[in-house]
Amino acid sequence: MSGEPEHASVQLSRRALLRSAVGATGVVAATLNPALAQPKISKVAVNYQDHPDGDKRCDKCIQFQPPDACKLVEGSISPQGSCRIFVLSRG
Amino acid sequence: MIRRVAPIWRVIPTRRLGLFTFVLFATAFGIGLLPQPAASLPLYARQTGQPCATCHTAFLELTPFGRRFKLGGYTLDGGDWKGPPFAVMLQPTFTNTQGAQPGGAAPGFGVNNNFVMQQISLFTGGRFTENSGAFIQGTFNDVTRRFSWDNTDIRFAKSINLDGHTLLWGVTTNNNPTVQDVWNTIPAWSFPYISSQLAPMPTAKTFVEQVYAQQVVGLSSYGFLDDLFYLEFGGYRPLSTNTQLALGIDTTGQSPISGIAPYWRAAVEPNFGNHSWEIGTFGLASKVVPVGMSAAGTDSFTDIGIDTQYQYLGDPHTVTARLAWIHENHNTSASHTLGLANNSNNQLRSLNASASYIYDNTWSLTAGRVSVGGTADAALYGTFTGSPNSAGWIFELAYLPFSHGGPSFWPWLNFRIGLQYTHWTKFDGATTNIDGMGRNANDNNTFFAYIWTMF
Repeated sequence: MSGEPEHASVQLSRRALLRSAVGATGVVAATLNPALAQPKISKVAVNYQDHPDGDKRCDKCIQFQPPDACKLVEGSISPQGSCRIFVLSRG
Repeated sequence: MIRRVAPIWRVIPTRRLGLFTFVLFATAFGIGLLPQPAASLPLYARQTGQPCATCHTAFLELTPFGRRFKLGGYTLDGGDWKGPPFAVMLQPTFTNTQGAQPGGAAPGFGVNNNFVMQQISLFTGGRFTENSGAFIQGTFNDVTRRFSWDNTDIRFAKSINLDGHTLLWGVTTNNNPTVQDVWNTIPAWSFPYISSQLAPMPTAKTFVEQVYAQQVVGLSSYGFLDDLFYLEFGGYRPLSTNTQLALGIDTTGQSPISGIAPYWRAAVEPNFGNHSWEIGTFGLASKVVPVGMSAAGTDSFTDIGIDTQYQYLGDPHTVTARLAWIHENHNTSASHTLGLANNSNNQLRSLNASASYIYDNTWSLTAGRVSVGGTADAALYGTFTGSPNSAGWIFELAYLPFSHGGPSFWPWLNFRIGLQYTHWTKFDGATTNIDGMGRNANDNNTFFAYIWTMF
């Protein structure tokens, strides 16, 4: 019975490093593909509704993209709609 | 064998910087320093153009939006920030324990009533490309006066349509089992979100409760189907001693993973109106080299957890309830042979339950219950009683003045100014004379004040 620490067994091997590099290359290559869609947030996750919430209306929000889109929330967005992440546009 | 997380801070000796570490950091920081098309963590607030309250009910707790921002690879933008993607965190704190700690709360600190800048952290990451991003943290700890890498999570994510179903899938490489998770029930992100590093903590904890934080590197893939079903599977392997030292980790007393440790996570999160409810399970299993000594073979453990979280996200009222329960089966046959454990098999059970009321993302009141229990093993846990059992209550009041936007000179400034009280009903297996020298469990009751600053 020895008390030698097992430090050597946990070194990263050259083979493991090569495998990691190949995997990382694949991920980087995939990320550079402009055809991939950027994930947006679902309407249900922000409690989107197609009517205003008091003064909160999508067409007053900084994230609204006329005529019917949002930079952050997926799908068709009504200018009269509202959701939980409303931020008043300064413009 | 004491299984607390060892102090992890150490000045980085550059000459020991391993190739893997260099590649990881060069890639992460190199990409992070590229000009951003636009760019809660303030760097994410700048990137998205949203205030803290979009992603957090009261930071750190995530909202449904925050969870999806993370699962989506930190890629969403919408802000007009053109500067570099960095953020800073400061944690000045004050700690008082009911009974003084003879010899000092830590080297260089007094026996009680200690002030310290507990952490100074620099963050980078955010969106790299349309489908990749990161959370990268480096921390200087003024208790141990060391700098090290901290929580790191680098992702690729993509949303695809499968015959009418939406699948958000991704891969994450990270350095801490559960750090990639998005619910605030699981160890890396559970309440309390900040604790004193100058107060006594129970000796025993399950392995999945941050024992391997920053000591490992992992890769896992995940899918989030129809915004409802979440499934993740991956594995962790230990970093070499030299790599850990290069990253500032103190390797003293570690019991490293042997081989690859599988990690799994499954959850379902229905959202309806202002309600969000999650129920799930998670786990980590591995062979372990006890205290780095392999002469008697390996121990092994299997940690299986179940968790649930409910959020009511009203305006201005928010209520959250969280529960996680972990069962650990720990085969300690190698430790037993080495004289590091009395038994050849042990069990631990850990409970973390808490509930918060949050007003307007600004005031947060939380009560929590923490407990750990299991088979007695004096050699394994090193407690006076031999028992790992501890239990306590935690109460916290926090004020977050800038969750909806900071002052005009720096709109991304935010504070979490908190008062926290921890009351121990049992500590390391006893309520009285917990250390054989007359100290009682309630001598470890802790009053903790902090000004958690992010900008």
